[in-house]
Amino acid sequence: MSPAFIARWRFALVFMAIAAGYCGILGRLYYLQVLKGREIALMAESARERVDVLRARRGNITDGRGNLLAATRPVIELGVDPEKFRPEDEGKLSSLADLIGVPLAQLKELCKPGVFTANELGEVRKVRWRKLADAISDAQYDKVRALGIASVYGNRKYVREYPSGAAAAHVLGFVNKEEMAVMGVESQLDYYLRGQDGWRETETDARRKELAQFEKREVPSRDGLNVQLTIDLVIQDMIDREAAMLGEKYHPDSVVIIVSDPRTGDLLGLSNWPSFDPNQYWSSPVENMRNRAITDVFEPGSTFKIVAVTGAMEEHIANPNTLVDCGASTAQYEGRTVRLPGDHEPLGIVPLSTVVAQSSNRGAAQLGIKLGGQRLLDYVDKFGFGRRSGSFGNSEVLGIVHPLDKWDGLTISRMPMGQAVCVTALQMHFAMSAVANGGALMKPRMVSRVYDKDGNTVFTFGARPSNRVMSRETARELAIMLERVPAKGGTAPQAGIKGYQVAGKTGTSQKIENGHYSHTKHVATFTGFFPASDPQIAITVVIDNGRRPEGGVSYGGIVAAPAFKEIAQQIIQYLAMEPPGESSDEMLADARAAR
Amino acid sequence: MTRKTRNPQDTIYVYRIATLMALNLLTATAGGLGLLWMRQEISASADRIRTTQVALADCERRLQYVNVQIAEATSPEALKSRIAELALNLQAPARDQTVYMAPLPQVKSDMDNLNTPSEPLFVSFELALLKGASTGK
Repeated sequence: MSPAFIARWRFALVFMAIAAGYCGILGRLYYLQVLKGREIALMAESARERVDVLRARRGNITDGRGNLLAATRPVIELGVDPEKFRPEDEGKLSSLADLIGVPLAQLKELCKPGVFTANELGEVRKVRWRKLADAISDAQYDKVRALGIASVYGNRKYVREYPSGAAAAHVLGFVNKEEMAVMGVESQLDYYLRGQDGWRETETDARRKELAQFEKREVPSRDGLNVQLTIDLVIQDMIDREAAMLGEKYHPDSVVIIVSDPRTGDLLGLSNWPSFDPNQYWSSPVENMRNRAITDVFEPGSTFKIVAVTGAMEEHIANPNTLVDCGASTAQYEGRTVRLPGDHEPLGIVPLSTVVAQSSNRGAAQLGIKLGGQRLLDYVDKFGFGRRSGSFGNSEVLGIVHPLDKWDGLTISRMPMGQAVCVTALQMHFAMSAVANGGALMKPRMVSRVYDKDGNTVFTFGARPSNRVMSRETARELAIMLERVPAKGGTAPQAGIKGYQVAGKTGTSQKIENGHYSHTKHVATFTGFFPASDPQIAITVVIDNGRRPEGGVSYGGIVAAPAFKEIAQQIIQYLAMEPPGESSDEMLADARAAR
Repeated sequence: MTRKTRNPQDTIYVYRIATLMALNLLTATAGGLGLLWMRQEISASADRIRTTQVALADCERRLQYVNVQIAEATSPEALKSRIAELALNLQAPARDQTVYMAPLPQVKSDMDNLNTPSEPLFVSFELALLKGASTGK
């Protein structure tokens, strides 16, 4: 059988067509694989690869008993892609409006497509995301998803919450919307709290669904560590309420109340009035956010007398029984005559203990003069005035203590009574705490430990002594003298609590207005501790420019001392502090008599 | 035409080759299918692990959410407002309502005799009421 005849030209045509086809394919392959190969491979890889950021959760802040003071709450930011919104979903909008609490009309407006926006470069684009709700819970989101509106979806985010509202707001600080820690513990311990974000490199299919088996690398996020404070939420609430009550009653410029354990320097509560809610920090004036206990200075007045008295006793210039002439109007100092400040009532020659109990300006000035400028300054420094405690970073101010060469002729007689020197409420509080703590000045401690999510302690902040101010004997003798202040005949009988050996000191300083001491504006202070024989609690109340409803000067003994007593009584009940030295039988008899 | 007879050795050789090829094909097919199955299993396991991870993360998130809600509900302000809402008229005890009792001599001596400070002190209360309840009398 002979093969079929094929015309030569036809064979050539078919061959060339097939060859040209192959050449075309080869050419295309060469173009795709060789010329564009790298680019296309990169494009395919980038379309397939996905890098997810694994957000770290910020650590919690708790009080000394584990109550949450600051926490990170996971929420969902809900939004809509207007370009994907289907007209048939419009009927579901009323249910959505009810779920997320947005008016229906507003919701309809947000879902309207065809909205354009221009970026900084002038490029005009369609809006593909419009926020519907800032923070909804998972449960709410589940309900939203159940509505089946495909164009409505959420992105997960974390928000910082302060479950107790304004309690300890100035200690805690807050985290702003840009997730920046702004002040307080949030800012100081941001390094521990913020954690570290992780990332995951993986591949996705054509529908952008993750292909878990092709996960290339995962660096897990490390959640922030938790911080436990020394603050006690219940005590904090007590002083917050008291500060608010003082604010309402006396309309002062500000109120500061500090409660601590003088033995360790642990801050149990620190309250400022006016205050703010860190959950809504933007709604309060900026000045309300100032932690006045460490940022505002004032002339301490008579509370500062403990410095001169301590110096005189430590230098063996005086003891509690030493007679001081409070009748003299002048004294000799470095060869010149110094005019002494006056007292409210002339006291004459009285023992040192009466100088303290009656808060004699003249007596304190005489002690300062006997001590001399340099030694007085040494004790001012030992008590921690004019320097930072070191527990609040740079937000704490130094106070004002002028060096000896800047003193004028009256400073030696004015500083011992708390003028010509400016202190913070915290400095004054810890100076008094040093007396309570047997003469050892402690550094304020507000953070007790940093711990991980399993409760394991990572870092402990122990109690830190600063320096010894005076001997134990001097501290004990001074405490006994200070016990007379809240007693009958002292300047603050309203601060006394029967059976609890309250020791303290009042202070009333005139504010400086236009370079002169004001006769109408005062800073009233009471700082003290109890029980004097075994001090466990120190409390300081500072009321700046209080206005008594009945008129008259807002003395420390009148406006601050009762607040001290009120707080102390509540703390006694809360901590079940047994009165020292009183037998149960006596207590029982007291209780029966009271009923 | 004379018919050629195949050498038996050659026949065995051909069979051997055929058997080996068949085995090779079988192994390759089984191996390929096994590999496919393994990859599918790896993929399914990875998906299951990721699903579990997501569920775990979701649980942790919800737990955190609930913790914050509990903290809010038990904050002093919230409790005070609840007291007002429910008109409970609760107040902190006054000082004269609290009586501090000295420990019984036996308990005190037991406490003093404890060598290890961390050792807890057990105190038992025998309540006639509870005894009565348990015996049904």
